Amino acid sequence: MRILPFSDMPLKKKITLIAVVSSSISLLIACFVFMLNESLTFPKVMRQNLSNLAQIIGDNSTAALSFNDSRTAQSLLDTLKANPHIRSACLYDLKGQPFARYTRPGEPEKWPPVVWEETSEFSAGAVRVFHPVLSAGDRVGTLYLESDTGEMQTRMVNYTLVTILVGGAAFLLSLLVASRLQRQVTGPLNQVVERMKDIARGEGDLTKRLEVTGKDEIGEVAEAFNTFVGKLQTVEDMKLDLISVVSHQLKTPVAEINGFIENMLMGLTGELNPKQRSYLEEMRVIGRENYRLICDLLSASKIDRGVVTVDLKPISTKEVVGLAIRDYEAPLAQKGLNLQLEGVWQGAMLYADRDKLVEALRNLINNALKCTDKGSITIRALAEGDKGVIEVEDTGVGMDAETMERLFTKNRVLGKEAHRSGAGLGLYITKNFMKYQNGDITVTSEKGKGTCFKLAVPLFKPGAGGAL
Amino acid sequence: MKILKTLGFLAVLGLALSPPGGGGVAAQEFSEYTVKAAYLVNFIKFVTWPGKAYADDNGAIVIGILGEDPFGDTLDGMVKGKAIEGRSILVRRFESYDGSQDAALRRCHVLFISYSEKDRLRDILKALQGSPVLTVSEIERFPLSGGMIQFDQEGQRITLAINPAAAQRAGLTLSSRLLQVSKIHKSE
Repeated sequence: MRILPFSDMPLKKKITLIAVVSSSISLLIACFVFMLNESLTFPKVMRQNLSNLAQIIGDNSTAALSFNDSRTAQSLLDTLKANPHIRSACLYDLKGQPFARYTRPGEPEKWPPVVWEETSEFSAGAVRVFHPVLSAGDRVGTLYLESDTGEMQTRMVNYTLVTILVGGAAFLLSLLVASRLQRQVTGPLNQVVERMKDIARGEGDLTKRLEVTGKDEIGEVAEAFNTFVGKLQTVEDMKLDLISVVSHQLKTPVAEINGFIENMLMGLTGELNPKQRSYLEEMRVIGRENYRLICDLLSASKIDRGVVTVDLKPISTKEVVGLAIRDYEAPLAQKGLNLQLEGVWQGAMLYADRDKLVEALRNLINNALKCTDKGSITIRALAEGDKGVIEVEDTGVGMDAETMERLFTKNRVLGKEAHRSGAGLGLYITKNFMKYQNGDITVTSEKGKGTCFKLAVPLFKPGAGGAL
Repeated sequence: MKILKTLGFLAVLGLALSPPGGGGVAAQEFSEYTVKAAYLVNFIKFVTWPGKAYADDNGAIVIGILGEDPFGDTLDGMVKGKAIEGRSILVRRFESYDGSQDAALRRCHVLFISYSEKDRLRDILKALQGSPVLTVSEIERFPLSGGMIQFDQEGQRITLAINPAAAQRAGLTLSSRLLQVSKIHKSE
């Protein structure tokens, strides 16, 4: 596993790391101090313990010393066998001569000369104690005890093992707890981050708000972000309203201008000289495109504001195709493109919104017209299961997979081949219109060979929910 | 009198002869009765008398010697200026038992009954019955006759034979440590 530099680590790792490292450090310090304390106090404790043992043995040997009973004294010292750490013991009489002796099996039979004062020392792996034996205040002898430090070593080994075990367990536990607790922080934060990314990509739904989970900094960020999204939404709404109002206001005058142009071309204002006719025809093309653009803007803004209404009725494919191609026969002929209709006249009945389906089909024909310079455009009607399908196939420039992927989104930046005109709203509108009609739009395309769009809407089933 | 030289004896005598914490006792030869005298004093440390056995809180401990005194000055030298648990120690000597000393004998804490009293032992013990007096003697079978502690001998070592039941009847409490170093007899 590659170790990331701390600054690049995800927050959850940072938090876990911080918690685990800081708890480990405090644990280590505690363990160290504990061990240090043990190793410092242990010699004292061992000396004290040995002195206490000497006190007991000494008290019990007063009679033996007073009445010169070395056998009893010996049996008393022999009881030290029970303590495997006692190396040797010696009871001295008042002259300083050994009175009774004991050595652990395997130890050399050697005893130091008597020391009259109460002493205890810890050195060279041994604890040694000289203890004056008193009987009713009178000195009757001296007891010497020597113990190894095996008890201390055993205890230190045990302490070390326990420390390692406890330390390890605490480490794992802190890791577990930290990795659980960090979710409290990173969970809400990740939510905020994901949402920010969505909005930045332009995919987020501006009406949705983040859940504010707490009053901490993350909660504040979430709240500030919500406020920000709210303002963004207001701006977005204003934009949509503006587009809606403007396009609405423009639609009628442009339609009127177009009407007047038509009238003049039809000769209602008298004979036109060739130059006038040529200008007016140019104006008619521009006017129509303007009108389409305004209609598209209006439709898109309706979709965005969610105010699209649908009027589902039975309608024949024949009628739909007829309405859709009406305005395009002339331009197609002008470009020298061949329009082929297949299966259109078989009279399948669709259940759809007439205007929206026609608009969708028009958009597809319009696109095909723009993208195709030679060859043909085929409109094909067929039934697939319970769906009625209208296909628009061209022999135009086609698209690559990347273009197809973002074909139905608004604001897409199209490739060179499709920039010819329009605001790029056509397919966005078509997609949404199809959705409103319980239908769908799909596309297949091959670069350089052509594109095939496929509109699908439910077939009309008489008596099964039909509106007529 | 037998001369005993074992180091153990030196220790025991040192107890009585030298102050606590002393740096050891010079090697000397001690007589059997010096050792026995030291034992008499040592007994005091391992026996508890009932409160009524003392005249008052600071009352002295009385060691009585009935009959012929084998100790001479030794015992007096040992107890001179010595105190055990705040009580000084007195030595009282009695003539051979004739029945008139009973009250005084009963006031003793430790009574050494000399060998000379062998024939009068039954009467003496009868007279002391019920009194808190630790009876000590060299007379054979002393514990079996109702006495408490007998000095015995094992090789060169002076040993103790004890009848704890007799001591208990007299209201005395013997330390278990004393019993540990003694031969125990159960009396009649």
